Amino acid sequence: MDSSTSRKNNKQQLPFLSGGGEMGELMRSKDWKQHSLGVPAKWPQSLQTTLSIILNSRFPMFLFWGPELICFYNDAYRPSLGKEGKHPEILGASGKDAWPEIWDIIKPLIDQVLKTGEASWSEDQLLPIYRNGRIEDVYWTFSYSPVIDESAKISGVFVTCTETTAKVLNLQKLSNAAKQYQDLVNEAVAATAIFTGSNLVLQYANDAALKIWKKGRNAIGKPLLKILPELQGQPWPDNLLKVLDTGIEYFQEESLVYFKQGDVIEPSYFDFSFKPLKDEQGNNISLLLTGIDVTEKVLNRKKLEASRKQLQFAIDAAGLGTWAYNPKEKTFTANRRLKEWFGVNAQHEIKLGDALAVVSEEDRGRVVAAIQHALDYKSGGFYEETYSMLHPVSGVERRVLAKGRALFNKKNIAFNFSGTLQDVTEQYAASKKVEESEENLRLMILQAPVGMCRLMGGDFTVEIINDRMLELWGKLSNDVLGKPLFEGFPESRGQGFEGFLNTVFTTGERVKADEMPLELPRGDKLENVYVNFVLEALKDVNGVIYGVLAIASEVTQQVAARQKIEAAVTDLTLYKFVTDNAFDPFILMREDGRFAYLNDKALEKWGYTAKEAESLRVPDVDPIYNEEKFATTFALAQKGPLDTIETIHQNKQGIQYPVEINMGGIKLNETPYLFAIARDITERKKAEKEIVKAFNKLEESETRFRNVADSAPVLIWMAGTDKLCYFFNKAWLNFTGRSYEEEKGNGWAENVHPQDLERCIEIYTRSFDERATFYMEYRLKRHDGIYRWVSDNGVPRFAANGDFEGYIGACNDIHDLVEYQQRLEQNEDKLNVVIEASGLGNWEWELIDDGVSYSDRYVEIFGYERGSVLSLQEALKRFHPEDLEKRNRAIKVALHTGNLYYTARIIWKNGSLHWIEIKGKVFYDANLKPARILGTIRDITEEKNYQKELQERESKFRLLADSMPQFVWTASPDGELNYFNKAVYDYSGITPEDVDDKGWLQIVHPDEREENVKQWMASIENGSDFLFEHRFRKNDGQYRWQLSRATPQRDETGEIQMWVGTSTDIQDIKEKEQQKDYFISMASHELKTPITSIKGYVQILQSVYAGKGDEFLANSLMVINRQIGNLTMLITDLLDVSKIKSGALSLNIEPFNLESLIKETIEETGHINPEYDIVFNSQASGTVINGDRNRIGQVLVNFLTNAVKYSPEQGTIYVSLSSGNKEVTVTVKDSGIGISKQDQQKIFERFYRVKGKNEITFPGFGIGLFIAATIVQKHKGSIAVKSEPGVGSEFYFTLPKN
Amino acid sequence: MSPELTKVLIIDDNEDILYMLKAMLQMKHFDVTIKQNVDNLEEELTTLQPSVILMDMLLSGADGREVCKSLKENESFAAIPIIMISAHSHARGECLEAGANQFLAKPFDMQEIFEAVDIALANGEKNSLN
Repeated sequence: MDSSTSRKNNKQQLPFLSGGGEMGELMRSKDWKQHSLGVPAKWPQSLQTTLSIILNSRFPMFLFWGPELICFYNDAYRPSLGKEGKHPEILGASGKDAWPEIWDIIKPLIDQVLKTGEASWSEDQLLPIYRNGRIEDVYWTFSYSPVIDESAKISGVFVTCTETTAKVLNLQKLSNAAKQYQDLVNEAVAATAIFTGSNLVLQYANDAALKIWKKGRNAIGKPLLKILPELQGQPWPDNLLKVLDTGIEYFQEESLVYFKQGDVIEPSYFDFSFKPLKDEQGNNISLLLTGIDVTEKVLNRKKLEASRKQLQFAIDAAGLGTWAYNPKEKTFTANRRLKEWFGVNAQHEIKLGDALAVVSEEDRGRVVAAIQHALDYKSGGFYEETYSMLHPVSGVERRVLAKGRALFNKKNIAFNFSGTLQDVTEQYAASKKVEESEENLRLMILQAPVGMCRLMGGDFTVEIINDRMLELWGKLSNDVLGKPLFEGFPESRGQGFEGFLNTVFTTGERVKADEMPLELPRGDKLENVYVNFVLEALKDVNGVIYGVLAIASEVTQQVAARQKIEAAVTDLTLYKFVTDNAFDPFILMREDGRFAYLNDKALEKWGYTAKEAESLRVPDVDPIYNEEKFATTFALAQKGPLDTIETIHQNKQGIQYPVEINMGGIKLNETPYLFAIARDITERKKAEKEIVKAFNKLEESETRFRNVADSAPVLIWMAGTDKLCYFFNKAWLNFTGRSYEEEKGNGWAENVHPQDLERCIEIYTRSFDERATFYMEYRLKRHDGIYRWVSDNGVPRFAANGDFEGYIGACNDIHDLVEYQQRLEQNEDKLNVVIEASGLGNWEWELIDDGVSYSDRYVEIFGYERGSVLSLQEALKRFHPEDLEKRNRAIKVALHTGNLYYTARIIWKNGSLHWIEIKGKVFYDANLKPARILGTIRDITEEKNYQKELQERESKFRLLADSMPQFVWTASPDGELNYFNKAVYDYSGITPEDVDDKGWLQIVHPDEREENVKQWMASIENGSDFLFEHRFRKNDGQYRWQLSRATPQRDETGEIQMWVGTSTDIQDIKEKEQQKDYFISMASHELKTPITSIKGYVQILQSVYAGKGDEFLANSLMVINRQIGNLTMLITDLLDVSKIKSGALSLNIEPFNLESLIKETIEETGHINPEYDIVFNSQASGTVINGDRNRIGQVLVNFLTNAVKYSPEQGTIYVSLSSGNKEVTVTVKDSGIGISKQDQQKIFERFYRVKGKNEITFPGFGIGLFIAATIVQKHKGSIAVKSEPGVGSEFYFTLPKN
Repeated sequence: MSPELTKVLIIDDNEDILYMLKAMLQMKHFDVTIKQNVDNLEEELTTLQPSVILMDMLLSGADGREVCKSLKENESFAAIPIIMISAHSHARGECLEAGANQFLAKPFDMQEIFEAVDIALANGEKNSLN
């Protein structure tokens, strides 16, 4: 009971432990009996007092007590210990146990206090402590002070503290921002910008960046794609985000970016660097973009490439390429020039596909379609197409005009497709240019700030019109566009425009009018308006007027305003005008300075009554205008109008205010007055002052900013007023690879190329003294020891108050640029070398001073030694007198067209004649006047001689041909007849014009025309000789038979150059032949009767003596009978031939079974020739054919008897019948002596018989196959033979199915 | 009673052919009458009443085709089969057109003559039966 009471007392009744919140409670409930300090009641008074203060204070406090430095703290301190940390364990613990992690830091502080008794002070000290489950960086501001006990000894250390972590971190963030800025200055290149967040919000951009983007400062704070929407889809934004994401720096050289410039999106090239900016923790918070515009450099390089192409081009002489395409083989042949264009060897024949591959991708589809179209018979075979082709090796682009013509065979299938290719690159470029300028004009019209429209043709059709013009006309574009002016805009009629426009359109003179009154539609009615306009003629390159450009603006308001003023001055009294303008004080003054009249506004402003004003004089209200000054002004005003002045007015209360005064002298009733309108400008002045102030402020910050960022290109230096450099940015130091210490002052000069240094220093000092900006280029040694050309822009810097502060300079590495220029020059030298090598000479002619320069080759072509100097006069002396005029004319033309071309003869000093070809291009000065001509010269003597020889040969041929009695004609490789000799015209009585009109076929007999064309086309297609008999109409209308023969003339490559044909009159031969045929016919018939009689009696005898046992008689009769059979066949053949010749062979067409016919024939033949084995293989049994059964049988007999005849030894003969889609084929194959290739071609001709090697001849006239062929052809079938001598022959014929 | 022989009339201006044909047909036991021209042809036909006529196309003084035509137009003789013979093989069509029942081109085989006469008689019998 006692002890519990005492414990309770111990806890509750000790006054120093009462209260104290949570910590008080903990103190009270803690079991102190086990503690080294013992129960609280026994604690020293000093400890009790201190704890009482601590527990009851709201300020964070802590106490280390006694030798063990026991820890106590209060509620206010507690949050500093965090949630999962030392609280409440450290209460009553020893300092060393409680703060192990910082004990090394705080123990010395405590010891110091214990030793010296002096309080300590630490601010923002980092003391990382364990709390919230981990070691945290915590900043503290704290004081340690001694606690002195009853024995005057220091027994404890009292700690008051505040956690300042939040404050410190904020400060660090601030300094971080400062670091960013520092980075910016150091890293800045020409264009600099900072973006933050996934939207890439622009945080900062220097003027260079904004200038490139053509944006204002208001872009800052907006996302990148809002500022530059054209970047959508370009790689830029993605790359930026990638850097932000990964934190890896990104560089790209000559990156192509399209920025919108006005309405046009222009390509620019930049060297980019995207650099992540990190915060203290190393997180990427934003991104620094720097970019240097290298567009010029890149374009220069492109120019270099262009000049390389030009070089290539110079080698190519202009001219036509020729080509031919064989649709069957799908091969493409071309002349040497064209093959060069296609990039293949001159010998090569190329596949069409390969040729098409050279055609530019965008044109290829169109070209292929056009070729297919031309190869279609229905198209007529015409082909004309313009397209671009790219040389596969040099990459030279060439625009070509292809023309061609396809030729078709009788089946309407194209067998030849040939034509030319013309280089039209220049024309194409020129037309492009025209298109471009046309587009520019169109844009200009549409964007013009005044009304503009283009009227085309004599009816002035509105072809293009801008909004302002439409406004002026009171029309919508649909009303007028595409319509004649007076139709779409009828209101304009009858107001004089008809006349104006016609004048402009016919004379080309401009018509201009100012303030022309017109009636134009406004809303739904007509209104009087005033218009200024100009009408200008539009001319094409030839100076022909094709339209009118109208420019107009409405000036109605201006005219009205002026008229009002004029009216006020002339018509109304001045007073009226005054009252109209009574918003400001109006003052009328007498010569003596008193006021004649003051309006209400003036009285109100000055605060006087009208009565009081009577006694006032000017100096009373205007302290500046004293008696003298007023008198002068008064006198001046009477002579003329005065300028507006500013002065001070003072009211009755003495308050002064600024006024603006307009004054003038007037006379009223012969008395001079001075009138004035005084406007209070207090407010305006105030505003102006504000603006000036704001402006100054702006300027100050802007100037500072500009100096750092705007003019900050790659390398930056700054110099003080002493000309010594005190700042180099990181980029500079990186570039030179030197330290700031090395560079500062004049140290930088050590890295400038010795040859450039003197010049640089001179420019630098002179500019410095003049405070002028300067630009110089010099070589600066890079860290790798290489001198690079740099440009240096120096700008003087001034403080806000105008004091000179030194210079800032920005340098760019322009080495590549300089090198490109030098290489460009070198390339021109190379071009000259190439021109020389190509045999071309070149020349230059300055038109202004007539100065000429000729290359060595040029003078050589003129017959002088290389290196000799040739004047223009001397060169002209060498011209053939007849060609001098031609040359002058060509130059005159060139000055108009820009292109020079002519050929001429020159006579060398030694008298020899030479041909030259001159080409040139005119260059114009800034005023578009011809300034000089550059050109080439080529010696074309050999070509000309060759040409001449050709012409001579040609004329010789004609002379010869014309003197021949035979008909001679020639044709082009495609079969077009292009020449007939005189004999043809003499015979036929037609003229060359008739041939041109109706063609040569008109003289051919109608019966032979179809076959004639068929045969001719077949020859053209195969390149085989043409041989044909046909009748030509004579001038008396009679036809005579001709034998025409044509052979192709080939060049060394085997290509057909032309066809030469002759026609010989064979009428007489023909007639004789007919007589012969008639004779044969008659003779044959006469022979038949006796044969019939012999045959008959032989057969009677055979029949009578059969079986009578007389062998000899039977044999004799059999031989007679067989020979009569042979004789009969010969006579039949002879007759058939004569029938064929006279065209009397007629067919008796009926359907019959071919298979059975073959079987019958085989049976008969086998019967007569039992020693031969005839095998029949039918794959088309039951085939029924429409034809003459007897005649087809005749063919079969012929085939079979031949097979027997030419297979002298016995053997097997194979006969087969097969059927295809459209025809049946019958084949007869033997293993006989065979037929040579040579003979195979002639075997179907009349009276031809194969001869064996051993001169073995076979009976017959050799006309059987001729008859067989005729019969098969008459059936519209075909007949042929395959054979090999010594192996056998295979004859076959085909017949069409029904 | 021996059966009456079938009567054949042969008309040809060539004596050799005429006698050869007669020899051939007699071998086949025909009653053969020969004639070198067409004089009094109709009277002789009326008297003779042949079962078949063999006639050359070109006769001296007459065209066999014309003769054939006139006989075929005459009701009394129209039924007699006519076999036309000629060296002009291309004349087959014309002869058939003129009314000839068959055509034989010179030179012919004996067998052909026999077959032609057999066919003519077979057809003639058919005609007379009808």
